[in-house]
Amino acid sequence: MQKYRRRFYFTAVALTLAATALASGHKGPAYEGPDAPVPMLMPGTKIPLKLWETEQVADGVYAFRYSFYRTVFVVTDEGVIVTDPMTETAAPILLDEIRKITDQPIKFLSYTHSHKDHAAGGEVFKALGATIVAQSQCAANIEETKPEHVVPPDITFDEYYKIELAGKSVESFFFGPSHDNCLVVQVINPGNLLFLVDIANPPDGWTMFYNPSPSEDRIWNMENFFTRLQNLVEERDIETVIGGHMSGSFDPETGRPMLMKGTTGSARVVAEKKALWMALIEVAEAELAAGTPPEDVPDVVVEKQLLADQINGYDPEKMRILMRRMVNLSLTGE
Amino acid sequence: MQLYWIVLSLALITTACSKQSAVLPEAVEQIGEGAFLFTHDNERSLFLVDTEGVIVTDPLGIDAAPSYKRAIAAITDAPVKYVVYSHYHWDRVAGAETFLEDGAQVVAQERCAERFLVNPNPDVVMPDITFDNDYVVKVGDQQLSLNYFGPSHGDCLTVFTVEDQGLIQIVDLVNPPAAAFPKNPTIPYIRPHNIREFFQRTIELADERNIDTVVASRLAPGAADGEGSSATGPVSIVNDQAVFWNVIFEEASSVRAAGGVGIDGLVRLKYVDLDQFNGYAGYRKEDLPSIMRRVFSYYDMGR
Repeated sequence: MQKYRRRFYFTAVALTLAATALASGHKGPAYEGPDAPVPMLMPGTKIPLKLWETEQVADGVYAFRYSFYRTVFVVTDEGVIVTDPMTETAAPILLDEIRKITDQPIKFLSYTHSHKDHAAGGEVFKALGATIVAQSQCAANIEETKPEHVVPPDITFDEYYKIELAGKSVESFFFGPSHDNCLVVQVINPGNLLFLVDIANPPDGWTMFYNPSPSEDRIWNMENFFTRLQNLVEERDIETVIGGHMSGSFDPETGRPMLMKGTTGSARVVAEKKALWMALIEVAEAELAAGTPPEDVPDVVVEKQLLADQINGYDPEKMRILMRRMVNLSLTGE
Repeated sequence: MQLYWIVLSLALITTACSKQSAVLPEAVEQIGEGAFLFTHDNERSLFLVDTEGVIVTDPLGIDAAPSYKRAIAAITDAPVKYVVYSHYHWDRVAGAETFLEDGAQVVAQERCAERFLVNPNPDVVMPDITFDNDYVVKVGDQQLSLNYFGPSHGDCLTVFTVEDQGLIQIVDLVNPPAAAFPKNPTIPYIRPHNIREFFQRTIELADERNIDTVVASRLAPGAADGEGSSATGPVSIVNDQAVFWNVIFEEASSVRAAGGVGIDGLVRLKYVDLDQFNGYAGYRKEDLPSIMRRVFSYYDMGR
């Protein structure tokens, strides 16, 4: 199993790169932003992944994926609740997908956070009369930077907000800064599903970060955030998480690496991701406490192979970058 | 003639300070009339002395603050009236407790205070006075102006100016002797959505106030024992540093449009015009992928 884990990162990335290169006809692989089509092949097959798809995950609850991004909508007899519109490219397609299922009016749009790669595209729903809901700091962010295609919310809240139509609901919980300074987690019913965007993704919380310099992550509040999130999971007896992105993992039977849709997975990802953050912080603090000069901590940690066996897709270069970030946290509080 | 300057210098110090000390402590450098720079390890902090009292800026940590206080006491008997925080990072602002014995009041931008509440550190003293956009700290004839231009390095970094002496200090963002690459290429502190606007407004402020000198907040990148460092430099360094950020953003945009970014989000250096970065202090081409990674994230996320 371990050897597959070691190879996972390189295999998954190589497959994706190869598929991208073949499909795009570019000389080299390129990333052109969240709206760019990212053709992919299912690893080990010649079956292309669709650019978008809609999956039913509970009674009236649907997950819509566009490229690597995912959102959720809830269909009721009194209207539709949409979470993130995602982008100006994805949102009209999302609306088309909803219309294949129901003619009910779009009543609410409820942002998970303020980043425009998830919150843009709301115009199509606003034009249909949807009320937009967001955490109050998200509203402040949108007011401050006025990102293109991100419609300001009509309703804001500080800690908690519940949207309920015909007995179906989307509840938003704010546990302080985490990824972005206003990210909320959402509990969706029916299904008792936890929708997590950009903070943890099924199936595995111990996966190496795609971006190892997580500048939009407020690491100083991660312990508090994840503790409160874990409490929510326990209090609500939540078993299933919907992931805001696709992610990499391993075939549970063979251990082979595979690119996962990550639509749903176990809520244990919450505890795992918290453990990863805490382990990274503790490793850096232990080295500093042992007298290692701050600038040497990244190399020392990599040389000692600390956490190398626990982090899926471990990459020494990414680990060095992560350690710089953790050392900064210790010294500056950020 | 030489004797004239010596006498004049002594007279200036004597005027500024009640203590008759012409020999400054080793960690202190005089940069203006009653304006001094205290150095501890790699960090430097501005303080202003008047016969009525002293304005201290960042205390530089619990290890540095007692030394800082002794250095001030070697110059003047006047009490420390204010401790002014430049931003909320602990390496700069911890240790103000040392100065409270004299009855000093702590001043900070309001977003710094908000941050201390949610991310407390027992070594960081909460401010007594907060402000939104601007504030003036005045003791006798000394006056330190504080201006906030939105998030830049952290969320509450405040620009310091001593207008009548033409001094400006922009802690952690601009440092003599030259515009530089960020010390940490992962730039977790930089707020890309406002950094260019911040520099634009800072340059405008410097122009309006006829500022001609930028004050250091740390030793130069890579400097050993201060070698190559200078306490002050020409204000043109502020503009040079603004140009650096503009070039980073523009180059990142061009490179991405040209397909020079991998699916891992990292720039391929062969696509980057490296020559334009050669002149910056601390330049390492290996740091560019991390720096530009942050800019790509900004282009995607809007923050």
